Amino acid sequence: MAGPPEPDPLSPDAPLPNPLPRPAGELEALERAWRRPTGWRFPTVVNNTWIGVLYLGTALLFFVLAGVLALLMRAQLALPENDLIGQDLYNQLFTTHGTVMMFLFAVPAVEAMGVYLLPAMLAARDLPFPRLSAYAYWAYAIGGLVFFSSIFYGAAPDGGWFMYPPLTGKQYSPGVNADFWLLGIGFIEISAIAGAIEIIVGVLKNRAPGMTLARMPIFAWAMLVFAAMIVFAFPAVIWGTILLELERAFGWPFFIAARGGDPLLWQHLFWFFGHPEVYIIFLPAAGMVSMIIPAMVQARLVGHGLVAMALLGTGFLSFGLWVHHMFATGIPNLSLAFFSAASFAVSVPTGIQVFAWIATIATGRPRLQVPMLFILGFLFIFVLGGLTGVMVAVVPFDWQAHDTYFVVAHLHYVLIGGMVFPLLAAIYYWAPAAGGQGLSRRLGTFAFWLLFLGINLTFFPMHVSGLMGMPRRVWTYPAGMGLEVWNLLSTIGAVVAALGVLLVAIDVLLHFRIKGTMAGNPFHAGTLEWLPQGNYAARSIPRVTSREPLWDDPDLAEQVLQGRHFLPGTATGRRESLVTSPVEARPQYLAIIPGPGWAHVLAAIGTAGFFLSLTVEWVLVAAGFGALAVASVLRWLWTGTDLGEIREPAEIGGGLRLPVYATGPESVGWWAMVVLLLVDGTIFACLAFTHGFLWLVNGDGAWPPAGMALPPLPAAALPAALVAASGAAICLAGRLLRRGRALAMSLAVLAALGLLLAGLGTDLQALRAAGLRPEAHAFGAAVFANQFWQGVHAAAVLVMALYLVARSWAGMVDPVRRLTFEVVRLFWLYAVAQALAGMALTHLFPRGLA
Amino acid sequence: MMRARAPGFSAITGALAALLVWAGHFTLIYGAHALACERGFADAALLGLPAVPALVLGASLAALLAVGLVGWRAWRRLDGSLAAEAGEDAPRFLAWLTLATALLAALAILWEAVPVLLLHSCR
Amino acid sequence: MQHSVFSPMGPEAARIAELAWLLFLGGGAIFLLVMLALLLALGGGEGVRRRLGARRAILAGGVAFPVAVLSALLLHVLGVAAALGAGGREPALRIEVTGRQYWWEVRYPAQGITTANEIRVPVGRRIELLLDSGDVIHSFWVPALHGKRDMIPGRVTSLRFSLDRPGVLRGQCAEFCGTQHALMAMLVIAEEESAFAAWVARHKVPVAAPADPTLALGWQAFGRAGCGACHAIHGTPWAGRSGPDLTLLGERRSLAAGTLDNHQATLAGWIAGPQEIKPGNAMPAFNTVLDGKELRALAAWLESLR
Repeated sequence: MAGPPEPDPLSPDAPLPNPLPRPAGELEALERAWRRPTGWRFPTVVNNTWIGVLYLGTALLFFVLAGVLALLMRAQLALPENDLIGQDLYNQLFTTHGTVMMFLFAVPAVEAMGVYLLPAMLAARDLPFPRLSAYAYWAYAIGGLVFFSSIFYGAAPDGGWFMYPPLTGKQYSPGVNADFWLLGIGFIEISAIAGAIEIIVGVLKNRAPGMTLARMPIFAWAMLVFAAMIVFAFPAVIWGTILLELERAFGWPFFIAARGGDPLLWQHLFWFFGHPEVYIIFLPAAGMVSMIIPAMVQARLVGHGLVAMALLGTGFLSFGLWVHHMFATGIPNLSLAFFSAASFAVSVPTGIQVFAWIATIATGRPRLQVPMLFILGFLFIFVLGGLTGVMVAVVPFDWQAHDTYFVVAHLHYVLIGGMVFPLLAAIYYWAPAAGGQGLSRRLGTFAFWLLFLGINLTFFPMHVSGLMGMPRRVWTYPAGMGLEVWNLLSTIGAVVAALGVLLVAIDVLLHFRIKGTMAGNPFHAGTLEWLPQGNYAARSIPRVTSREPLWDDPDLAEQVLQGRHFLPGTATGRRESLVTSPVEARPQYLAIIPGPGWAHVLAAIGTAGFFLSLTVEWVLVAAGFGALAVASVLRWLWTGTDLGEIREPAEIGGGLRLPVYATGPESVGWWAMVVLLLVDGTIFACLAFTHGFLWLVNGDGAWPPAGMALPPLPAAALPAALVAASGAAICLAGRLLRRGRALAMSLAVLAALGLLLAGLGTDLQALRAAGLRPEAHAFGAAVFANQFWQGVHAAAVLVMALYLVARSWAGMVDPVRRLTFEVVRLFWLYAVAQALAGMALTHLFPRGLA
Repeated sequence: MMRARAPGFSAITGALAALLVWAGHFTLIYGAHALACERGFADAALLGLPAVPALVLGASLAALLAVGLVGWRAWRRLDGSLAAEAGEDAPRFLAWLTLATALLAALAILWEAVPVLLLHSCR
Repeated sequence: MQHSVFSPMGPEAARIAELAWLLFLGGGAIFLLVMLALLLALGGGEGVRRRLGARRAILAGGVAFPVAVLSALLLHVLGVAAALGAGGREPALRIEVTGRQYWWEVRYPAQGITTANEIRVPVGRRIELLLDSGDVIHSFWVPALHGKRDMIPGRVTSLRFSLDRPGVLRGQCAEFCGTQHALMAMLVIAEEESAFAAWVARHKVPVAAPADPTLALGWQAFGRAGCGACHAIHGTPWAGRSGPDLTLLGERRSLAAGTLDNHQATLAGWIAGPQEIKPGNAMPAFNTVLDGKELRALAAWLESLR
């Protein structure tokens, strides 16, 4: 390069990226590209501001509904030997309450806050896959409402939100209640994973230029850790759900002890998800607290790095706690002690955050507005719940406290303190960002006091009733054990807290309005979500040079509004987002992102309908919904993704010219597939764990057990060779594509498909020819679960291959426009590797033992 | 066109290294211990020591060494200064984060190793 | 009747209760300290707030303090766990308990006794319970005795303890096990060695057909209604195993796993309509099989088994 070195356009000393005045029509074009659909087209909306609010609103609806169930339970338990509600309904009430609060309220609510806030906070136009967020939302809303309504037909699950087999197995739960849980919740987990992929890629690749990891707001750190935890935690429960449904539907005995299964397998899988789940809910809330306190006290967060470290550390250590829930199962004391120690370790990062918040408050000038009241309430309740958390991590004490009302008290202190109060603070704090007008200070203050007193009155007495001998999940309790007064107090407290929720609801209905535009910064906060926003988010994407840009550069809001920062318009006339590098946030390319459409809405209806009709065994209806879902997803991808290089690189200001198309590790699509494969790999790890665990618990028994045999090794070699050849063929297809030989590439893809299907098919055939069946013993069940999972991947590869070939014949795949091919190849190679690993597990692992 | 080879993608994984070591250590000690107890070789001797304590302590020492190495390299990148969490400079911030997570991981590994000295292996 | 964690009847429960008090006092003190720090941060003097606002305060309060306290607690807890887990002396009495939806089968293998829902134990002896399940997961929990232990199909778990003094301890299933999980209680009756020996001896006496006409009618009703298909009574031809063993039923304090007090009227009511009293349990109603007179006679005879 010749000439004097150009100044780094991201440096604070460089001139502003774009000059004034802005060309005529620039803003209008931007507005046109981002216009929100209205009227009957409203469901097609994809803007994160709208989807985020819908998402949060739906989650809050489920909070209220599940809260009503809790009130019914408290009414039943107000008096001893009460017969207001019978045992059958009661068991459905507590199962549905727990399930809805965890899966339909807590996780979606924090995910919604992420979808809503992250783009604004990172000064992105939107998250990278807006239709994916919208799809996740609609699938969740439809599926969740149908799931909830099952309680009106007495068909709600009644085996507890933890669904322990054998109680939830076919023998002891023959009805559809358990299936509602397994299928209904199963796909809502898929929706959560879709959201997690969106958030990870968004946080790493869509930050404003100059917003390095060191300058990234704590909430974004929290959401990043949150989403990564979903990626590694949810697969365990998805896999467990698949196993239990396979057992219920086809009699594969994973959890039936008499046929080599073990009920504890479920508990390991469930709690490997279930314990991180608590932190999955808490970390985003903690992230919100770390954003709200600085604004409320007008001081920077003390220990920003410590807090980021605490979030990362919690994210990891919380995976070392799952046996915490199994202290009473008779596992050796030493094993329990490992988990006890890990539980102690995870309380250190939490302590760091608490003291960082206290320190921040001490350095500032606290204003006791409604968000701050909820933050103070949060600190009181959460610290108390955290301390009882340390208590239940103490193994001998937990032997007494476990499964009693003491734990009910503890978990509600942690979850209400740790998540609901911060969420309420967040609603009161960020409401002006959505509608320009805040919520009522009077109503909010009243609501706070009712909630604070009500929650403490409800749950503090439960510590006592639990240790006095009251187990959890009982629909009645005897008089004369001294439990009466504590239960009555809890019921009164629940009514008081419910009044608080009612006041919040009234406040929101009266005062919350979505305008989609925002001006002003009522709390005088320092972060970018308080920039003036339109449907397109900020007019221009600010150059970020500090952690609190609005505090450090008082003119920033005005400059952004005038369009003097990056990308003040649209280069292609379509919706675009600025993709930056993951660590330094240097601009890489302009990603074109899809706008409103029906395809993802239909896909959501199809997905929800598919799982729900399976629950009630309407197989044909389910097939119809499934076809609708697949067809809609394909249409959505066909029209909205991988548009290719539709124009030459565009100027975004500051001398930066960015391409409008990228492939490989630079592109967001590639990242999304990598995250998806992490999910998939974790599920496969759970599969391998299942196989190993069942071997381990089957004592000294032979593996395979007597009377069962694997096919001879040579019979397994052919399938392995075919599958490996499939991997080679898809790589060959890549070389052909680079040379521009589209037809040859298509043929190679089809050949690779044939090889993969033949490999998996011959393996299955060999196992069946050897006489192995899944129903007889857990060994066979484990082997065929592996086959099942490979089959699911084969089906996915089949659809992808045909899609790819069709795109190629339509002239939409070429040496430049090859993102679709790269993404398919990535999945394909994973499927090949997984198939080979699966074969090793089936054929080599048992032989290695012998 | 200049292709920005994401500087410090390795820096992200670097910041996670110590915690990944913790995860490996935890999986290993829990898995090996369960295996030893279920399969009855907990009372066998390893290098003249009872199998489970020897294994757990050996694994913990190795993990502490690995975490120590991660932390030490981060410390050197910080020029031995822990002041002000390395501020807003991205590489220094990541180095600081690496060091801090290494300390947390070391604490967790240490705490998880202690029980083996005090408890019977398989009861 | 003892049913609380804080009224321990033996050394194991006492040790845990002691630990619980330590946790409450320590946890309470820490809670107050943190809340005090928060109050001072909100409205304390300049000097205090400056010190609380320093990064060093985070390291002191959020790192150094918890690490010190938790390290000490970890060592102490491991000591308690080691003492509880070591098992102490070899048990002098082994009792097998099987959880079933929704009652407890209790067997004394060395004594050759099977009973239900009430566990008699001698004071002072080292006792081991071997726990398993006949259907779904249950959890054995008698707070005044020890912590809880799950009963898992396909596995045998154990619990070792001893009792210091005679008394009646109430326990309850602690793992959700289905419809009537709430009505699955049991009693542990701790008595002196001699009383226990006498109970064992009474248990071994075969039950014979009664001479009294009312009681004899009850005996016949038991046979006619087919009760013996599910219930066993020592010394009689009736040896069903799917329901509770009814030997010495008259001595038990409660019926239907702690659901009712045990006397003739409640027993007759239970036999007539168990699904009204404890819906979802496995026992069918006998009000259509037996007339009122037979019911009363059956209850009278069963109550006479003591």
